[in-house]
Amino acid sequence: MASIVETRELTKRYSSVTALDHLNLAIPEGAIYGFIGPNGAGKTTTMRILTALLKPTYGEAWIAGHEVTRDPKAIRKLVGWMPDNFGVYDNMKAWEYLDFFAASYGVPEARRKQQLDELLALVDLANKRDEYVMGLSRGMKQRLSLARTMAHDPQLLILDEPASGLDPRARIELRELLKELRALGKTIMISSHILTELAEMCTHIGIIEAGRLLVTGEVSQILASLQPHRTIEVQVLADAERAVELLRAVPGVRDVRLQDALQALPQENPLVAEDVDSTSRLSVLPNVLERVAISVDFVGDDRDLSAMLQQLTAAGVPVVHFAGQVSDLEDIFMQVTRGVTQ
Amino acid sequence: MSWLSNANPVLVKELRGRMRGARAFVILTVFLLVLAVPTTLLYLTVASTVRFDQFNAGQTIGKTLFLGIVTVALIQVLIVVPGQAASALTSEKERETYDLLISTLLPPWKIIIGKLLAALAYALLLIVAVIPFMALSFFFGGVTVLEVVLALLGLIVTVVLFGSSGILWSVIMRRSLAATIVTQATSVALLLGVPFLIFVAGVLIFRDFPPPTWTQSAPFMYLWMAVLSIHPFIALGLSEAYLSEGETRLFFPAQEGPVTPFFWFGQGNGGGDVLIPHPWLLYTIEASILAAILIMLSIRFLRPVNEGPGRPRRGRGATKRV
Ligand SMILES: Nc1ncnc2c1ncn2[C@@H]1O[C@H](COP(=O)(O)OP(=O)(O)OP(=O)(O)O)[C@@H](O)[C@H]1O
Ligand SMILES: [Mg+2]
Repeated sequence: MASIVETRELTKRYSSVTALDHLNLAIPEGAIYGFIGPNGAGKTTTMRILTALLKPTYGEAWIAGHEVTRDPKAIRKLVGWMPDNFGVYDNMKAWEYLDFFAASYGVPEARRKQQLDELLALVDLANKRDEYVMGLSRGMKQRLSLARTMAHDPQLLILDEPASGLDPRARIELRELLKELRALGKTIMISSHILTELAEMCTHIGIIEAGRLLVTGEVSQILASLQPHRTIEVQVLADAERAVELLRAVPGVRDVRLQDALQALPQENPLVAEDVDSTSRLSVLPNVLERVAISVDFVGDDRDLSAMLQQLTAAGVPVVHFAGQVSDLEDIFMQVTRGVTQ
Repeated sequence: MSWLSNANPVLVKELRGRMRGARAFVILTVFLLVLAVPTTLLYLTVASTVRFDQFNAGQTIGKTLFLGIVTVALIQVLIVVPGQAASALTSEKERETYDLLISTLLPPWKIIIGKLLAALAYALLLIVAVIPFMALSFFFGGVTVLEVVLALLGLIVTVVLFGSSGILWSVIMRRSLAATIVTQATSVALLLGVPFLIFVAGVLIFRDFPPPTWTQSAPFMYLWMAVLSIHPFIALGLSEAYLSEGETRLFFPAQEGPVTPFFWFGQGNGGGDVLIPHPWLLYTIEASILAAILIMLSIRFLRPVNEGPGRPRRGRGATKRV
């Protein structure tokens, strides 16, 4: 895959701070690239350079063969940018907002009229067409802002923390929307502080800290390489001892521990009201007590993992739960980024 | 507005925002009330002092009303325009739409011109609305068409000049408040500073009588006229003084100026034959050049807001997680 975005030794110094430190970034065409880093890592700085709003101190950045500082006009045609603090105009209706930006990008009038409703429908704001932008909720403004980035049909969308401030439902909708956009052939670069927020929707990620790119590549590879040690939780209805024996023999397994059955009970099970005592808990979830939880420390890849499950089922062990602990992503993030920020 | 929207989206956007709802209507009404009150008072005063048996009573009333209306309108636009222009771009910075705006494909000149015209919109509306008032004084007689046309031209030129200064400050400053203060300070500096300079220079140069002969030289006379004519009130006032004495030529020999606010011209030997431009012409040219320079500077300075080292550090919300 060809890279649509490429930076070479990109460096940006503010008077005393080095915001970007010889950054080499490559985003393949058609990717959803998650750009992850803590506050002050240099995400916004990178994105502003890529939108030709900021000049790098040193180094080069290329988008689809155009160098950003030399050819800002071409860059603006190619890129749709959503800043982290999207601004809205008062006294302006949603459709006028989109129409204004489309006109500002030189989209001809006939085309503007035609795409307006498409865009509003795409971001699910068709019914807000004639409302004032100021009156929209944060999530709606954010979606409108996203529609704006597409007003001139750019190839590359650069979205600076589009998910911040959104409720979980809006996040999921955003994720779906981005997938749709990717299906339309757009490349998307999206920044966030939160790895887990992006891991599910991105094809590639880069983790940046203190202006340096720590890791970059395809999500699956990174997750694998970053998880030399992951924990798999297995719950069985019986034969726990045999399961442990079997698990120990699987390649990649470092340690197997039997857990107390009650620990397997989810901490905040929605079926169990807080004030119900433990006996009635049992009546609500009769099977839970019979489960035995086994936690497996595992360093293998996904092939080994599926082999593990196959062996268990082949041996007739009644497996009721088999899952990696996903929340470890946060730990990985903490582990990779050392908390070095200026 | 669609052709305009293609031609200058910024202008359309601004006009939509400004002219929407009751606001524009209210502002224009206030303008006209402010204009109407002194006009009426002036009319009553003049009418009571002029004896109607005088054969030119109507002319006196017409002239006084005309001058009163133009003066009040001039003061009004000088108050309104800089305020409107000064927030043209700072408001985008404050709303954080500035970066979005300048990262579109709009060329900087289109943004600046759109902003300038939009900022002048109220003033231009006011000027249009003033025309019937002028017609009123026209009706009394004593005012020529040329005077009315030149008054309108003078108003428009003034509005463009002071609007351009507001736009430039709006490009340079970050906050609307600061830009407005600096713009108004610039206006005051011009409006009060120029007369002060003229006064001081006049006292120093024309201390002796007869004044030194070099004051009769063409370069000095041009310079002196140029300085006088950069001030809207002086330039337009002088023009009116010449016009009402029947001097309508664009250029006329200095000594033939029937009104001699610079009585020294032509008093000595030579100098009197120097052709000097009519003050309104000089004012129009000077103000246009100055406005063009201000607009060009604005276009040049239009650039990303936190390119420089002095970006105000925004307090980051505590809600963000790492
Ligand atoms: N105009 C500026 N002047 C001086 N320093 C700046 C400027 N802009 C950014 N910086 C510094 O550059 C570094 C990177 O900032 P940047 O905004 O790119 O981080 P970020 O990754 O987007 O952070 P966040 O997650 O908080 O948005 C920070 O240390 C910041 O203080
Ligand atoms: Mg940022």
